[in-house]
Amino acid sequence: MVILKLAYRNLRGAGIRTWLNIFVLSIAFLAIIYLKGMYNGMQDQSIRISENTDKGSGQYWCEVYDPYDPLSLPDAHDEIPAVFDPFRESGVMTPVMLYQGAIYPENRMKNVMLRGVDHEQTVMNVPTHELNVEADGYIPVMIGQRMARSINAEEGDIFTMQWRDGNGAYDARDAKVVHVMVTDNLTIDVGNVWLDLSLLQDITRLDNYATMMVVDKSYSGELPESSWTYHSLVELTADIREMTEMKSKGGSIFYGVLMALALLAVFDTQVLSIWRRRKEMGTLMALGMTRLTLIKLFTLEGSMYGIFAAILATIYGAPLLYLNNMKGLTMPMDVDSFGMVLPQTLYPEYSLSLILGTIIVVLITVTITSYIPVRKLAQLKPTDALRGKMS
Amino acid sequence: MEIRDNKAIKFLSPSTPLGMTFPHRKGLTMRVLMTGIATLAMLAMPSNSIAQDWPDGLAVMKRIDRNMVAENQVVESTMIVHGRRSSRTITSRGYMVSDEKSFSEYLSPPREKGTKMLKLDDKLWIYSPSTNRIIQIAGHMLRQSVMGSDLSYEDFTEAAELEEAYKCTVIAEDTLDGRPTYVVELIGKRDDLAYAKRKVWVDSDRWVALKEERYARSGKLLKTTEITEVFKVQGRWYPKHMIFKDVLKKGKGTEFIIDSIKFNQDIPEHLFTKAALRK
Repeated sequence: MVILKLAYRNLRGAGIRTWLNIFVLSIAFLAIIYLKGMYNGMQDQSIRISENTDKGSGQYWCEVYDPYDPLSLPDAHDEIPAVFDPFRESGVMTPVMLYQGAIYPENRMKNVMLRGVDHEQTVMNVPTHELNVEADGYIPVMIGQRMARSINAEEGDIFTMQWRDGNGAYDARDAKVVHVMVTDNLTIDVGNVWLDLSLLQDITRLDNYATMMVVDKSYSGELPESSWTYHSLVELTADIREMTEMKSKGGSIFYGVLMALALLAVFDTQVLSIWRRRKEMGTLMALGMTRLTLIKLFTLEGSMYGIFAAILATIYGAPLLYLNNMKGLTMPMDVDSFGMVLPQTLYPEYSLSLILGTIIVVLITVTITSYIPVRKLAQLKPTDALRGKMS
Repeated sequence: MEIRDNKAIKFLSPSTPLGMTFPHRKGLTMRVLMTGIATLAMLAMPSNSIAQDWPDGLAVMKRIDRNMVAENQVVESTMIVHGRRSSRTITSRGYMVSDEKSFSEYLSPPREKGTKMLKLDDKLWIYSPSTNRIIQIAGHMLRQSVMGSDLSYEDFTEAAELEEAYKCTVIAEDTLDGRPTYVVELIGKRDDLAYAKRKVWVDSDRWVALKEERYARSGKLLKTTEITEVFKVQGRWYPKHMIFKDVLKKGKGTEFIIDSIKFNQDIPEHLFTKAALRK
């Protein structure tokens, strides 16, 4: 307790030097928590968006479908197994059919994925009800805002759509954009043209066919056995997690550098402190303080930088992080360039484990950094110290 | 050359400069309608009374086959791709044996030189010397344009067994660039044909197709081919200059010019292997 008080007094006595160290360390604290919180939030939001608009709580894929194998896509559809019928009827699952085609907006060809979805479905948070309209004899289709931008189309526009039906015959008809949806999920937007499933089945002559069954995210009951393979949400969003992890590792370089700078300041302070307080150390030893206690005192002084930095970071950082958490961070550029499902506004997630974990890691690092220059005190002779000598 | 009865008709399949067998194309009833009242009167008549003076559609197609079909062909050709701002000229040499096998190599421009393409039945591989890799063209890639032209890779994989696949009927007579033609309508007999309907304008004198139109199942016109020049080679009338056009796309289309063609040559079998692509 005595050395605690002593350490505190010494720190206060150091004045501006102490506060500078504490301030730099507090910035490192905040930066680490902020960045980690952003990555956590980014991952959670990406997964949530995917879950809501595309993946559900999982998907059954027909045997041939493999989204990573373009060669499989032309045949990636099969008759929907009867075992799914009760789940379809109760709204727990909805079929989705992916079919390759091409559109000709302004007479330019663009390969697209025709995405057939039941317009009455409620499994995915996508405005498919917009497809339930009469489009003056045209095929009513819906596209995302990115797709609309890339083909320079808007609601009411008409373009020719071409595909090969289930038998391989070319077919083409004019389609009308009945709705442009706004979605954060670029995978269901870019290169996709949405139309009603029954219509897609009709024009491709593939009645009751689909590529996958999407399971409602709120469904937690037993799932049926089927010839179609089930893929859980965890499996379906593994790429998002990997991507976030990769970006997080990249970010760790930044706060690693920041921490290194802060720790260097602590280290320098300790070295300087030992040098300037030689006589004080000799006096303390002459008065009966052991070398070990002396080492503890100086190490504690160093560690207290970390503690005070945590307190300071809380004082000015907590409101900032709270504000950031409420308002989010609106990306200045198009988030599509990140190549993953991302909302335009990111909301960080600061968990207790994240904050406590960061505090513990920083405190341990600061303590070790403080201890390193203090080790030499183990060989310090009080007489030398009183004379101002360091052996 | 005699037409073998067991062989599918290929009269609409002149060799493209890429060395692939490419089914020919169409003409439109619009031309017929241009003859005005007379044509309208004809259309009002019972079809059998109109058709009685016209040859059988199948016979017309077989006559063209006499010009087009050979055991094999070696073709040197030029493809002119018209872009928005400029045009590109690509020359190639192609070897083909019936509809099933073909091998082609680009000779110029320098950027494309050495690129090779192999077609075996309905499979297509392309070799690019810059990457030294062979890739199979499949899926979405089949719809991609070949060298920016109006032709897709998919067009090259299409079988040209028109006689078996289509019901051929002469539906009109027409004149194209001063040449008398029969308009033959080809209606698919099966559902698995790439084009449900085609129309072909056939020179009734030289028995060579001068124009073709291909239609989607919905009846929408998709692609056209016009043959603006024919030439006689080894006693056969053969297309010399063709213009392929994807009707749904903007642009002037893609020109094909047959620089030279030789029939029934001694083509080594090893040419039609994937190993030959890297050589």
